Amino acid sequence: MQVLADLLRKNEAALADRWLELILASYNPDTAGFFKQQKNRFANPVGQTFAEQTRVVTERLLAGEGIEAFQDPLHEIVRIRAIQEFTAAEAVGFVFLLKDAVRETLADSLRDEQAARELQAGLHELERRIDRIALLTFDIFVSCRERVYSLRLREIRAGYVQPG
Amino acid sequence: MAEHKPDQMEFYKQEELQQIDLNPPKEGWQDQPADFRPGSWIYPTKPKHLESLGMPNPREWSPADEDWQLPENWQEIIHKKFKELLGKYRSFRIFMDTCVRCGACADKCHFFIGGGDPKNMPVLRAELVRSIYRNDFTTVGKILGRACGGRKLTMDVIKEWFYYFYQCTECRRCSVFCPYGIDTAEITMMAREMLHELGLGVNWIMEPVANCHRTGNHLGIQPHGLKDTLEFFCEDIEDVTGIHIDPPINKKGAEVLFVTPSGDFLADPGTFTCMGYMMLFEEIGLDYTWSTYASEGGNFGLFTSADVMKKLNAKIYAEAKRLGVKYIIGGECGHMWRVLNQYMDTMNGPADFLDVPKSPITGTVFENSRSTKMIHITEFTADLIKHGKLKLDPKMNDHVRVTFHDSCNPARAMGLLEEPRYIINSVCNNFHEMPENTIREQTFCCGGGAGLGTDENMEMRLRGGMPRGTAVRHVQEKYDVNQLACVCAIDRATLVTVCDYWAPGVQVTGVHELVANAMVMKGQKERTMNLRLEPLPGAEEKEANDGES
Repeated sequence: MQVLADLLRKNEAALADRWLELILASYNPDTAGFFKQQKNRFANPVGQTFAEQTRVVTERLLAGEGIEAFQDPLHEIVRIRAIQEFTAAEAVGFVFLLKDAVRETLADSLRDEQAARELQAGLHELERRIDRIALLTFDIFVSCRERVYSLRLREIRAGYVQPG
Repeated sequence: MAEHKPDQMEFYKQEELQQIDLNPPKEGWQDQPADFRPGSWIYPTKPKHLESLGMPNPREWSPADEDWQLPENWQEIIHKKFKELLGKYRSFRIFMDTCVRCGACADKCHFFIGGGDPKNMPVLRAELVRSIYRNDFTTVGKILGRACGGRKLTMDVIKEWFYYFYQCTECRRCSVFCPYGIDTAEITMMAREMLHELGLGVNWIMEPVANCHRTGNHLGIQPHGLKDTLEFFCEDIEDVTGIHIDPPINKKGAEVLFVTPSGDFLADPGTFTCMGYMMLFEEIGLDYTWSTYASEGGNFGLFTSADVMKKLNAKIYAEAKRLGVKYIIGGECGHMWRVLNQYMDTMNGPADFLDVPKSPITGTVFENSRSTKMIHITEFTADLIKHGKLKLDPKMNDHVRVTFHDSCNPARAMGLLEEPRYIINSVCNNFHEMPENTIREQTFCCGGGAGLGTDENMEMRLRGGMPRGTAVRHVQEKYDVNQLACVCAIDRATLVTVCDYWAPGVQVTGVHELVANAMVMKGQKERTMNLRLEPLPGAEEKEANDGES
């Protein structure tokens, strides 16, 4: 466990970057380029929110923090993906890409059989935690969708359906 | 070879993991038909509204249908209208010819920024029309076709136009950045005008247009209904201030005709803004009148066609003439002011029967309105404050920390940037600007303008509202801002929802609600409530203490 944690922490920035890249790949390449390159958070709120919050999630995952620590950063990401043109699976599936990013980050170490054996238990545990985070993400997604529906209902009741 | 499970190391083939291609297969945008997703399109016009307006091809249909029931010669109809518009508007032809695809506009649209669909980049959205122009109306395009960016007008193109030109709020933010000054909003207007030839429009625009055509306002409020509404507001005003107001309606010979968007009559928080106007006029003793005929400042004709816009606008000058007023003041509205400021004079003017607006209180002559004879209420009020004609107690607004959303049309179409800020700073002690690249000429749309402010496209609106919502949240976190002021009826309806999703806890207010809450009226009772009938901070305790003593 300790070996894995040290190894990942050493590569924390690269891990977060790779995860972000994999998430951005769910958009059109031109869009992904914009989301990645424009650093002003008001000119590019989606890209900057993803960049900031994936770093927070990665950091907290490697620090072994409890599930409640992931609520806020995931909410920031999911609130956006819940109203973009994704299916539910596409909207929350980005969490699983973190597993891919972890495996890729560890690729060199995993080539060595001895090291791979040492890392396996830790990896298994880490991936179970990511699964738990994915379930939390699904809850957040549903709460965001419920919010959209309640806002819609409120507008109908308030009479906004007839414009001024 | 044994099957491996995902949690086993062997499941992952290292060499494959190293070769993830982040790019989906490249396919030209021309070949990707629009994917009509719920939440991204608006319900089509009901046939009865098209019938009442005498517009073509009324029928029951849905964008989700495969067959849109177009007339057999639909290509010919579009081609004819396209040609007519190119001949009528030189600007349209220039916009079709000029773009060099520099990309300056590409990342400036709120729908692209929040949603990421490349066809919402203004350059590409315009290209949806420009590709047809090139193919059918330019010599080089007729010869080279696709090789020079042309494409054939197919049913998929029409569907694409409907999908994307109703994902443009005509806010003109992209135009601010265009080095050639291409007005993308006008391209959207042209595209929508062509679509109307086939009976392709949305109900949220066309029902108000039909109502306006019939009863004079978007909501279809009849004269007695409007009278009741204004009197109802006066009851609330009396509860708050102790002052009784008799609203002047259809008063011949009044000095000023006042016209505001009918949204101010219907839904909170616009209603509080409307009460604000009435209190202001009462306080300064303005000789003005409401009209039950010109009972709509907004003009959804702007989102329909030039002819419809002209027709709906005509009632304002006609009523000014009938009542014999000297000039017109207009309320807080967005697109209304694009029509009034940029089109009214040439469409329905000259208003040579009116005077150049002159404030009866300060004597200021509004030279900027020499031509239209109509001024914005924030110009009028800012002038009153500048001359010290209003007694104001900004402390009454101390419980609110305000930021200001520049509504797209007043900001970009008429340059109304300073007056609302001057007023807010005069009536509030806590005003905080949002970041520079989200205000003034660069302001972000609410996501619901140009007829998109309905509920069935809620996801689209929330994507479009995200850049604004992000800026609001920033000042909420940094300065504890709890109210977003604006001068637009659509904003007052749609930003409530945008804030509730992106910056919960921030309320939306009109500028004249803030004015009225801070205004000390002659003969008023001690204020214990604001216009929303909410107790003022400290008022409840004071009342309790007074009761005990």
